[in-house]
Amino acid sequence: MLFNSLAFVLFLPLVFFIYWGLKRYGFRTQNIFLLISSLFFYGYWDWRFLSLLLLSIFIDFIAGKKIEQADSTSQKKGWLWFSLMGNLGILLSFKYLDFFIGSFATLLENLGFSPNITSLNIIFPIGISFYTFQSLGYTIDVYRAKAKAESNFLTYATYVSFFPQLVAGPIERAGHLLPQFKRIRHFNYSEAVVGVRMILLGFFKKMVIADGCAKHVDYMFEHHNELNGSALLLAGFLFSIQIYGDFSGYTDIAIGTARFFGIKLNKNFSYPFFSRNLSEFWRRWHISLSSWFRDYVYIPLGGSRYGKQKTLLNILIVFTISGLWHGANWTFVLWGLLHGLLYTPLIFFNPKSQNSRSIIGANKRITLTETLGLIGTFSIVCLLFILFRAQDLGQATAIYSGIASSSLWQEPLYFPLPTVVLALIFLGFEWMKRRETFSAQTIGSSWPLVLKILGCALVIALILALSFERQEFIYFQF
Amino acid sequence: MKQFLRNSALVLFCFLAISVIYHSALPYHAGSNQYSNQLNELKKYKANIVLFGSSRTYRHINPLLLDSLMAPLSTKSFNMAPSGCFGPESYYLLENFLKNSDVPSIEFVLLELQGLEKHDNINKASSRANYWIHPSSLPWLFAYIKQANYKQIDKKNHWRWHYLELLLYGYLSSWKIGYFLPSGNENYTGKAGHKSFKDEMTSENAPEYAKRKLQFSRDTIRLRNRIQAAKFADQFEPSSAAQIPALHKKLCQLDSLAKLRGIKLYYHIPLRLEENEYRQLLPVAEMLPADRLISLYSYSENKELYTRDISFDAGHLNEKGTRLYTVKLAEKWKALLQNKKVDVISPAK
Repeated sequence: MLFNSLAFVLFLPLVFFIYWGLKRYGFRTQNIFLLISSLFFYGYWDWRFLSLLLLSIFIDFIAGKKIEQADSTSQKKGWLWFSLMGNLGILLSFKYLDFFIGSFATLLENLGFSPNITSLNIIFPIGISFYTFQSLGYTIDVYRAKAKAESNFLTYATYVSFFPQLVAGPIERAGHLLPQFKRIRHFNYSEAVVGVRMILLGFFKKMVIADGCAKHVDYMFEHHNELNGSALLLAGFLFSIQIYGDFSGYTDIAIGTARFFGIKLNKNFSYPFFSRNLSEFWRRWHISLSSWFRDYVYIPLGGSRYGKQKTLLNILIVFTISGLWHGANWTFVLWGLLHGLLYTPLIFFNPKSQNSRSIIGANKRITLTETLGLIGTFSIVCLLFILFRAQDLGQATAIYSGIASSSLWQEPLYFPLPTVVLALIFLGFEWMKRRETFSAQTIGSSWPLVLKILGCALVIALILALSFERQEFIYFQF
Repeated sequence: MKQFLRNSALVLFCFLAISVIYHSALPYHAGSNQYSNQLNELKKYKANIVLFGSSRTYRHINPLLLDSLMAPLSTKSFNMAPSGCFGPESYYLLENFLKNSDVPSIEFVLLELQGLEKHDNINKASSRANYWIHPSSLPWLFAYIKQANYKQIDKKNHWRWHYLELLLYGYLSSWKIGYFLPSGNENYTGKAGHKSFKDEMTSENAPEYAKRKLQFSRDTIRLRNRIQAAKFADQFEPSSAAQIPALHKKLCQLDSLAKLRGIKLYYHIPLRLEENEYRQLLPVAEMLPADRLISLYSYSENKELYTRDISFDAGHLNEKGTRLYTVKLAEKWKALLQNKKVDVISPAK
């Protein structure tokens, strides 16, 4: 089930009413209901893949308990490996097996062999990258004694499968989310209002901004051979806006929805396009994933404790794996690797910026260096996102060649003015609101109730009106 | 919690109120670009006959040929039938066309009789499939479903849910600004509202139509089924079959509206329907005035309209078939208009 679907519009209020109606029977009953709802939510897409989700939950529940009960470190390690193999095995099989088979076949062909290898055409289960990582994080935290093993299977299952964050994050930590399922939740009006604001913002970003850019991006990438350098650069810009609108929008809906149930999820995006350098960008973009890789891959590899060379290697490994996490294609791997390569100089040459936590211009005037840094970082991010969107390395190369040509300085051959204007307005709006936790946090907060209600209704109407997705009627059968 | 629920209910109420105001301001045909284009052309064309119906009317009746055959009657016909237009939509369009008095020159309307049909899942969310449905449509649709027997319409709850879904999709899709933007299907008006399959084969959609033509060339079953259905219709005793009062009532409403405008409403039963469609339409056709009903579906009387060489697919005629059908229609209609009985006449070459 997707958030922007009729089914979800009907699903959410129903779950909301029943959930709070069950409050008098205690939080465990609410958890059971949330678990059933979450499994229904996931199974609505394809019920067959519920088994994978349940398998992952089961593996890590057992692993967590066994790790805590283990007498020796070797036993603990054994159960940790059990969890790692189980989860990564599921992930590798369903997400990467076809990719590796295809890549292996290509390699053999390039070496002069004629392999007869058939693709398995494995269906990719939605959300698998998210829930396996969340579940893995739990067992690793139990191993490190940073979290206690959960003794109640239903509570643990609810933690992993909690539907708002199941398919697209944020990837939660056991220490933050699991305790929330082990205590009484109270309905809080202010939190629910925050939830409404985030949901509306999320739908606006997803349905208006992201989907509005998507149809032009699809066209521009499909017809990249017919476009000049400036149009291709514009395609990179629009795709960056699209992916941000899509992903952060989805996260906003997830966080807002969770608030309806008295659950707080972690922030996942913090105005990443206003970063002064790549280091800051990765502290603001998909925060839950970058922190997961930092805590569970980078630090175990040694982090920055073993000299510059090892640090450099660790950074490249983490970014490359991060790229691969995003998708089973060499373009994602290259995307991650390039981010890693461009990131590393910052470690060595710009240590002060690592400590900068406040958004640009939040507490003081913006300097020229910061402005140049912002423009430069945004440009690099947009250019690298072309790899993220390209079908393969060939297409990416062709697009970069186009951008690097003299046609970059010509008028774009394709220029969707309304969409570009909307994207710029959206960026401008986020810029103005960058000091807030999320950009719709305070809009209309001082208005009288009547205006707030009317404003809310108008925003819903605006989202529906501006969402560009217009399904064509298939006439050809008539 | 109470405060939140109250405020949420108020937001929903406000949204619905805005929705009602917004929808009442929309033209009745917003969502059907093809019909909107046809209407615009009609206003400039100044026709005195308009045709309403489905793709069978759209494809099978060539207005220019019809007018030439209707001489010495000074007819000027225009085909207002959009492609892919199912029964309820067709009746909705005619009803609003009559209410809106858009074109004062109209003297006759020829309406294709249609039963209920369901949109494929692929089209349901498209505004073109659901723009026509309003809460006021539901009572007669549900009455129709209830009154139809299981040989006419089965799985009634599926039908009810289908129209409720269309209603919900309709409200959602009608909000989109894209609703008003030109679609890729703008060129459907053709000549006097008609566009033949031959013209489609040279349009931007040619590959899709070529694929359809190829599929038909390999298919022997579907046309045979339509012929069987037509033979069934020949034997069918409408008076012994279940009447659908809701459909009859709808047609009477349209007739009254037409009369108020000084328009004479004629009906035709299309050919190449499925058996359950004949079961729905023939009983109600019995109750319509015989001097305003044109039927060319009969297999025994119109075998030549069921041959492969004049077919584009099982349900539609190609250009040659359209010519033949228009000729036969013109003969019958002219006779009715001139108040004569029709003899079987060889089709004009």
